[in-house]
Amino acid sequence: MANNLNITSAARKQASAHSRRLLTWISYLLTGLLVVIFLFPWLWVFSLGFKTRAEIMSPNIVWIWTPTLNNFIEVLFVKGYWRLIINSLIVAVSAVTLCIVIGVPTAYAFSRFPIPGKESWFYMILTFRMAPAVVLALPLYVIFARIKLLGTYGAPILAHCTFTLPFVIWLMRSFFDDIPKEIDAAAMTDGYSRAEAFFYAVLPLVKSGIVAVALFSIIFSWNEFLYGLILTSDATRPVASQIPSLIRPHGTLWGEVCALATTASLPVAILIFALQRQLVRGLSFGAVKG
Amino acid sequence: MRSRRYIWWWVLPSAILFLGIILIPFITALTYSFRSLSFTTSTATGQYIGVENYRRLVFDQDFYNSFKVTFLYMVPAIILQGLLGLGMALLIAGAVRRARILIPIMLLPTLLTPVVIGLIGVLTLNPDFGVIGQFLNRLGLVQGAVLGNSDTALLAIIAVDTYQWTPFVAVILTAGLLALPKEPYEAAQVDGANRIQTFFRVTMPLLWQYFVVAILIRVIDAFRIFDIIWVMTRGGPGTATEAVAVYAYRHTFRYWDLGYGSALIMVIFVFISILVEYLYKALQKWQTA
Amino acid sequence: MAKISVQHVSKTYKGGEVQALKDVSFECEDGKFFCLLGPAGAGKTTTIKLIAGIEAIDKGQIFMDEQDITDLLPKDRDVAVAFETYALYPQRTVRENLAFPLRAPMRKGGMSEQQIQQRVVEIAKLLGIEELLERLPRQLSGGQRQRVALGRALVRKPKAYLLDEPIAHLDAKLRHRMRGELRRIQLELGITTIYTTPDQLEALSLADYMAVLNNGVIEQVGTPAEIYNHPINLFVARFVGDPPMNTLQAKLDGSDLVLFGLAKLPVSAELKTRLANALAGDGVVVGVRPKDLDIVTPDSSEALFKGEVKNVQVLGETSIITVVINAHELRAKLNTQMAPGRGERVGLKFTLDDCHFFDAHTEQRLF
Repeated sequence: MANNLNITSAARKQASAHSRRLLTWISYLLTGLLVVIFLFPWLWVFSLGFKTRAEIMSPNIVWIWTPTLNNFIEVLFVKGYWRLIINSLIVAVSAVTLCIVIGVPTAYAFSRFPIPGKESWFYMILTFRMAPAVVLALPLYVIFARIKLLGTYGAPILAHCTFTLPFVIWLMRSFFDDIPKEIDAAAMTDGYSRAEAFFYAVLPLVKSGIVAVALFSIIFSWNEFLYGLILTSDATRPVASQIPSLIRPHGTLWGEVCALATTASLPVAILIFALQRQLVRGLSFGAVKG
Repeated sequence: MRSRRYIWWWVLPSAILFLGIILIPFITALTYSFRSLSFTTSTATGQYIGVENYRRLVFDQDFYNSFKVTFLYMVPAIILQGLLGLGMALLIAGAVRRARILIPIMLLPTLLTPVVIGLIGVLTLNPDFGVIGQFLNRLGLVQGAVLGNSDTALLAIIAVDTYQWTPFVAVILTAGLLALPKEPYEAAQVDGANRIQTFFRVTMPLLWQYFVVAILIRVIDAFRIFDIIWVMTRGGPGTATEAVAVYAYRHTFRYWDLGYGSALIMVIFVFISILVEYLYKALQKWQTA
Repeated sequence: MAKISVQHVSKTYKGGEVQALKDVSFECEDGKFFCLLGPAGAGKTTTIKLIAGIEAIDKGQIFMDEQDITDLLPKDRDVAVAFETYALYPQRTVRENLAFPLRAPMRKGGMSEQQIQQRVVEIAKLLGIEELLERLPRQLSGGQRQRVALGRALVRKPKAYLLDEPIAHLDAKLRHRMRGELRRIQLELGITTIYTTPDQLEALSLADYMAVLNNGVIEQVGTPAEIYNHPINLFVARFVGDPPMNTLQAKLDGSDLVLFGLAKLPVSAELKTRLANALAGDGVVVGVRPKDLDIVTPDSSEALFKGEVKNVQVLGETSIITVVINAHELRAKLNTQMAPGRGERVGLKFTLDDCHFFDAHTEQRLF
């Protein structure tokens, strides 16, 4: 009797192992399908950049064609839009460098020192981080116009600091909070001042965190649209802010637009893969350790 | 302690930058909102007019419309993204555990330039040569341009937003699923709970805080949506897709009505700060947990 | 080398909610080995942190020699700390961890690179970790990490070592060896050392002077012998000594002291007057160390108590037996050869000379 029971339970276990394996495979299959669904629109739009105008406008979608680089050559070099990519780079790298250099020590201070009203400051930082760009765009426009910053690189760089600085402080604090205070204490009793302990003992531990925060900030800066549009001149405008103006009610050169969009997306895509391990943490404001 | 004096050196540069590019501009906008200030109206000379701008706002039908549009977009979009994101997370969690590379792949729509996402929307929905637009026309679901029709334009925005943000919700929830402790499941198994019971009694309560943070971020984002709408419809047709950020943009950078635009900005800001308070609490609870 | 003097120091956490230290005062003479003994949560680590300057003092002062160091930065105090949590630098090898204090910018030019390496190897050999020099902390076991943490403190020759449970996570054999090594190093260098431990035996065997800390309060300061022989209150009496001291409730009946309401111990008139005050109140608690209890046959006239042996724990040469008398338990430490078997009935005896007397209400020693 007892023996019988054992046999059936073993059989059942085996059966459930089989069905579980089947379920796993089905889930993998569906995951693959999802990936295709999410990548398809991208790939389709990017493919337009490699098509001739006739191929793009064809009422029957052309699936097989000979790729051409003409759109890229035309938009980037003949029309000289490669400048826009450089502008994006200048703005993003300058803003992020500035915010990392001054924001990381601040994040450390918030993590370690008894700063009065600490939580209120953090609430305020988060609020401005989450406010739409249009909230600060208007006053920044007026102020930058008054101090003759409008149309220079300084305008979009400083404007991008309005969201980069809060992000750096917020996320870096979560990285510093993960490091035990004893590390600083050990260095300080070993003969290091607070600043030296920060530099020699703590900073090396958050190196990968700083890189992650910097790359994330570059993505956000690269993607930004409104500040780049209104605070710049044609000479200093970043690429993301210029793309919509290429879309006209009639006669849009779709091939060139797609070629430019593809070029502009490439660096971000690379950064996303470089960030792999820290993506979740960055997106959830450090709440999820990733 | 003597070291307390040096605290200021750590925060001073950030404080100066914060003051210069955030606080002073914000206060400038606040003072503008009480003044009659416009680059296009000759009678507006910047004089103090009290709460007149705010009074005007109360009677502005387009202002209410912009909130209506925001909610009409936000509620279905977030419900959709929440449900699809949860389903997707449950589906991919197992695969993600084996192949972390899936996370960046899934997140491409979320993190790539929003303007390009808008472009994808415009192109795929094009009735003449867009993959999806053509398809919809052939099925007879839509006549002509999806984005040119007030009935379907907002639906298109919702669809594109969902395409962009579902992976975000899914990835946050996946992280939650992967971080779940094993013990409650073993306990549930011992208690003889079936899969569905386990999901509702064990998984959901543990996942709930991840869900709250993801959804709160999305709600706040709804008040920020601008780039995609700008590329796809510029708020049109008419005001059918004119969400709050788009509406504020129209009054500031197209009508150059600085006083009224600033009042709008302040109202949006108050909304955001109330929502952020909830988000802040959710994040804090999480970090101390 | 310096005398360290802690005076009336108080410390609270969480904005005053948690009182970690209450009016703590003690002095450690120059070149002495001072142990802070107390259970977990007594405030030992807090004391170390305050002396090192890692945390700010709420009230009181700390002196090194005659200099007030209360407000001095940690790096200017010239103390070396071994942290209970190790606090090793995870991205540096053991070698670099050990060299880190010697490379501090304030000591730049003090030692050549060659001298630094020499000193690192020296200290690694001393602690038996010279094989591990190129490893990272995460590749080490708990005991190995603790030795690196200790090495990082010992690598310098500061005015004082502050060692926070520095050998608590080593295995028993190594701990025993390290105890001897530490004492030898300290005697050799003559550097003032403050050492915390929850292990009373460690404190008794290492310390020149020791303090017993409980709930943020110093219960008693003295030499190990003073503390063992004259515990100032019941807490110290029970905490120091293993197995803990037996404590017996006592009342006076005529000229006899009645223990547990069972046994009568005749007392002299002189002792009676000395106990009089306490006896008038809640009574007296008599403390007897297990080593001072002897067994006799149960029907012997010497037997104060008669009971059954409930448990016998063999330690080696000695054994601890637990005897149950009605609802009470007494423990005796005996030569293993003399120990009775479990379940045997035995008599227990001790003399007045071996008794410690405490007030039952205040729990303070009477004399």
